[in-house]
Amino acid sequence: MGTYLGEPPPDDVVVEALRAGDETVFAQLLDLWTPGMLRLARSYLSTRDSAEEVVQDTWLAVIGNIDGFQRRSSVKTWVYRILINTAKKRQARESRTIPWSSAFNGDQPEGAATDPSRFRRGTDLRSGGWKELPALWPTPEGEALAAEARDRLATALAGLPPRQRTVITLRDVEGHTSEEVCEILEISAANQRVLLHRARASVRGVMEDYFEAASRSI
Amino acid sequence: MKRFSCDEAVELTTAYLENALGPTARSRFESHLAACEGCERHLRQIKTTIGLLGGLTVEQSGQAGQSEQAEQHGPLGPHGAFPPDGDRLPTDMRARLLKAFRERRTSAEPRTPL
Repeated sequence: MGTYLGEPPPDDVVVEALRAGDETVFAQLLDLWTPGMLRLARSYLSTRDSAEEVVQDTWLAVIGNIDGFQRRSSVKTWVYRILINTAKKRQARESRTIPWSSAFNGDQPEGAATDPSRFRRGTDLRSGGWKELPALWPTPEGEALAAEARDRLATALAGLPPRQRTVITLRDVEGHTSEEVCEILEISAANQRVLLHRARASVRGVMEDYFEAASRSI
Repeated sequence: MKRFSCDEAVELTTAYLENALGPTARSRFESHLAACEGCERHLRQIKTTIGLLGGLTVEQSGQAGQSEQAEQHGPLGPHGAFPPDGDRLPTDMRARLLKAFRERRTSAEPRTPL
């Protein structure tokens, strides 16, 4: 993930460098982590400007508090926690957006993540089996298809309920571990897994529709 | 040992990939998968989806090439060269943050200059 700009040095080195005022290291972290932070901030806030300000305020808090950093987590997790807290405060001020807490319930509907109508119902042995197997997906070929698929993917992400979007973005787009995500969002492992599962099932469903439509149009 | 049905198996995909299933459930899941083309495809598609999602970052990082850095905010201004959902801070904001970092070093007490 994000290897283009290079992986940052180990945490101990980063913390010492930031405390010592090493601007190269700071700039490296800033450029490496900001894209993911902006994407995450967007899942809380309705406008690009708000997200940018939240990311800016997060970095200012990092600058102001690096001396007090306790190393109880990784630097990245610490930064992301500041980001989430800053975004939540900002979100609470913005009436247009759904508060995180009230979004929570609607985010976790009961029932299966995969459409139950895909499976047979009945009492015989085939009950619960696929009515029709999921169609094979093409191996993406060529830039055009890839770009289109990416657009569809981004749209699918944007359409997810906020908490699911946050979790899947952190896990599958940004590459955080489940432990990090639990720590950043202060949720249980089981909760993280449920949100991730529903999000992945939704996104797979969107991609399934996309590939199906694409195969018909060829 | 009871077999998982397909609708049960697909709901365990994430737990399986997260290594969160107990040994019994894991082995039941795997033996179901070995015998079920539909669920095997489903799992592969979930993995493909995860791979595609991971590609979003790589792609965008790739676009954030250093060679473009110098000319990224040309006459069009901070947002002009990129779509509004580009993944970088406006140049002036980035510059202010670097300045804030520099000033932190020179001031005895951290402050927020913005």
